[in-house]
Amino acid sequence: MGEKRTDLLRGTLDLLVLKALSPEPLHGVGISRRITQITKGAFQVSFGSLFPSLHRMEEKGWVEAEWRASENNRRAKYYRLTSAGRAQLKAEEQQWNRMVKIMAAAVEST
Amino acid sequence: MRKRILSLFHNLFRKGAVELELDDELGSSVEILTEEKMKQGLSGSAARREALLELGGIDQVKEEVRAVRAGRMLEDFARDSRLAFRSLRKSPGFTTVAILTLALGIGANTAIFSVVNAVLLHPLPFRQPNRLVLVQEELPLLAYRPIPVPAHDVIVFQKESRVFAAAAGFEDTPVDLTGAGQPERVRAERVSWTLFPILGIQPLLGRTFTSKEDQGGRRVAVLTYGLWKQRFGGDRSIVGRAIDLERKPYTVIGVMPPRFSFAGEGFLEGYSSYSSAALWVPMSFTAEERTTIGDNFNFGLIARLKPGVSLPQVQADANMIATRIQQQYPPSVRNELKLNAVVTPLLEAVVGRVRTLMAILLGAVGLVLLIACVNVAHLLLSRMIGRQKEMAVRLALGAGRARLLRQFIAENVVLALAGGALGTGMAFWCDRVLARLAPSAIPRLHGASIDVFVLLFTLGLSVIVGVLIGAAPAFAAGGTDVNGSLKEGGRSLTAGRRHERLRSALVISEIALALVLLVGAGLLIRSFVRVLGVNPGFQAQHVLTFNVGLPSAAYPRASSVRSFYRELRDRLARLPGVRRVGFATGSPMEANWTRTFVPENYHPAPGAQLNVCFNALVSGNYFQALRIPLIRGRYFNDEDTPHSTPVVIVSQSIAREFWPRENPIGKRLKWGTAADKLPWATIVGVVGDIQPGPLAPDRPSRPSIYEPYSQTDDALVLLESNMHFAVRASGDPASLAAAARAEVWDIDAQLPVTSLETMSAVVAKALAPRRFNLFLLGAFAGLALLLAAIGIYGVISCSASQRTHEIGIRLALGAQRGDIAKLVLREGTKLTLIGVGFGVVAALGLTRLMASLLFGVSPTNPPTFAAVALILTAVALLASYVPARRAMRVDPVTALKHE
Repeated sequence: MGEKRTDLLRGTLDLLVLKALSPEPLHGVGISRRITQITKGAFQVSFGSLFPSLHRMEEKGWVEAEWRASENNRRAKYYRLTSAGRAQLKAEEQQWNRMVKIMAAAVEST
Repeated sequence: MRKRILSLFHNLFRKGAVELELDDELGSSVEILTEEKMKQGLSGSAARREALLELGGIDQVKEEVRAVRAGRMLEDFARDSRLAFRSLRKSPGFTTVAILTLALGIGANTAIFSVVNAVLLHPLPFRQPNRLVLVQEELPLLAYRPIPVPAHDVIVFQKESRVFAAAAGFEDTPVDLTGAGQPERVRAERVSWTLFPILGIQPLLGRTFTSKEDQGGRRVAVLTYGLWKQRFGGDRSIVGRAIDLERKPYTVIGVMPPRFSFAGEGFLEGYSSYSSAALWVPMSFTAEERTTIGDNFNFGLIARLKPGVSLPQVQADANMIATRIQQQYPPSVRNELKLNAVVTPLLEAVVGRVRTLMAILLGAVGLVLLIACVNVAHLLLSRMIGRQKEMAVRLALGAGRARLLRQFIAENVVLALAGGALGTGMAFWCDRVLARLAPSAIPRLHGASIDVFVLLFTLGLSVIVGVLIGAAPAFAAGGTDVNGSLKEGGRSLTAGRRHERLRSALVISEIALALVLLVGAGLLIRSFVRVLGVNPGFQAQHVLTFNVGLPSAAYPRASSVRSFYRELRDRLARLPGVRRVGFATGSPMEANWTRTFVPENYHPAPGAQLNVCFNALVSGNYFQALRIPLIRGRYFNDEDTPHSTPVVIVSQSIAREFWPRENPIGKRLKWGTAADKLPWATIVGVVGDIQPGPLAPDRPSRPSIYEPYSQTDDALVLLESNMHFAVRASGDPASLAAAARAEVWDIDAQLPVTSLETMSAVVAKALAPRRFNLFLLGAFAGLALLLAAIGIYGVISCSASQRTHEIGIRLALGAQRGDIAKLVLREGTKLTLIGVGFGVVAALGLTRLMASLLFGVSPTNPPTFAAVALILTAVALLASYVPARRAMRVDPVTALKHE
């Protein structure tokens, strides 16, 4: 049922959400759009994965939420990175880069 | 971590708010998405539909979010329980029956476990109780089990043991407590001064004995809390005052705390009567006690082990000491006797003898619970079948199987917990009943209570039961076929092979379990009947008995003792309604004085054992009063005087053993060994043997030799100053009690009269432990039979009603109503017989374990097995007869329309 793909992406999804939130606070739909945009359309995050991920990160203290007016003057729940979230983003970026290097080396070696 | 805990609280307690916020968030997301779609040119409703589609279903997203939240398990559990409550409330009949059944099972288990907990598991109420041991001796030739030790040996063990930190002797001694109120015969314990320090118990008031008081024979006493409260009104100034014991003044030096008792109340079998001690006096061994070797095995000996020594080391050390003691025995017996020491941990000495009984009770009550579980499992299964459609719908709507299973388990655990709670209430009541019924032969039973440990046991048991009763239905539910169930339109043609087989398995196991219990109870009943049938050797009806003991201070000479008893005997004989009066040393039920003897011209094979018999000094019409039959010769009479030829009466087994082909009348024998300088005594009569009593009917009958009190030498008369009277009445013996007591007090107003009761009451008391076992196991077996009958009825009627349609077709096709009844009955019979078969096999294996509780019946007694199998089969058939009748009356038209 696609559970496998979610599992594979779980770590990645957190990284993408943190990255998407790093310039400015966004609401759920905004985060989804931003991810599509920064991945040049490669990832379409389903809300079924996005919202649980946001709530999980909120419980971990990486993001904070507040209600405010959206660009179209609607009430929306905006998420913002906390300092712990920024630290986490940095850590995950480093880990990701290290992993990419390792993987690239591994793939290129014949 | 803190954050997560906070959010757990947040989620649990502000759950409503969290849910609302989630709703808000998702709602606003839908709107944002809708707006987006509309900007792309979609109409309002189309945009909204697209938005919802992209979101992927609000409820699914909510469920996913909930799933990651902290406290989800708890929340789910709470929700499952709520659901369970709601669904159970909807079927009150089912719920009531299930909870009651479980309450019976769990309640019985709780009650019995609380007893086992108090009797077996509680540590002894002393300091470091696992370092305490009881030391006994064993003379394989004379006594077939370990016995107390002589005073001399107490001293030797105290002095010579290298593994005891300290040792203390104790002896039960009845004393007259006089002055201030009615004269009372109370149980005192003579104890070494070291006893209280060894047990590590401080007195409530005053102090305990000193070494000086023990050695110096000082007249001091320590009171129990009970005696202090009852007789002295809890007066704190009692310490330092004098009380009269055996008509001598003793100074009270201390009072022990409440509930402290050492050897009383059946605590140590063979060391005390079943009443508790009232006070303690110092041991203060007499010079004679110190020096008498190999006689008077009367003293208890407990010791505290030095740190670090193991039980085998202690046993080895004790055996070395025993061997040294044996070397001091007189040459005539030194090489014939073997003296062993037996060291037992104190707890084992106290509870070892009831361990089997406790295990059997726990096992029996466990079987009852299993049967109850099977019944409830079947109820659940039937309910499940009714709910199959509900399950199918929920599965179709996307509920996970795991989710359904979890809810199922929650329902069962709620059921079991409710049953457990109700059962605990019942157990409180059961404990009170048990405490009243319990024979004092079971130590520590009065301490049974529902404590935290028992509650935990019950809670654990309830949860296990909850899972257990859910297992079968859950297994059945695992096979729920969504399409099939829905297509069938809620009606199942046949319940499916799977359910059918499961149900059969339940009935079979239930019958097998019930059979095991019934066989156990049946064996106990047969044993009980056998015990009642044992001829005790005397007739208890119409006999009044009591004990009188003369304090040596008031009766210092043998002549005064003799004349007291002669006068009392003659006065009693003159009372109206009295037919025969006699007295003897010890009641026939508890004769425990043995003596060695040797017949004239007896040439034992080298290495043969010493001849041991029970011995009693008798006077008056003792044999006639108890109707101990005369087989040959004559009873004692007034012509047997100190100046006539010494005579004895032997019991049948002595006559048979030593004079198998001769007339024993006129033969002679002597106490001790042939070398002893005692006169030969001539046998003038042979009487019947006395059985050792219902307490131990399985022991061989007692070879006894009786000596006339009139010829007993003065030293023995002084030593044996406690007499047991037997008064045969023409009518109700109990009505003579007051008159008998008045006669005693008329001669000496300060003499306590003890154990004044009818002989029948004494016999009944001795039967109490057996009656108790029978009552408990009988109750469990009855409960099992009832539950099994209900279970079989339930299963057969359920399966019959599910076959209503089939029966309708059969009837429509011309089957006779009798055939239908047979069809249903045949099913019941088949299951019953299989169950009985399994049960018999299981019972054959299990009843061996209860051999020690039986008497005169082998654990595999075929008549018992046959009778039980028959009864159970009959009950099972009766239980399936009712649904069979109902099936017979099915109206084919209705049955077919039922479609």
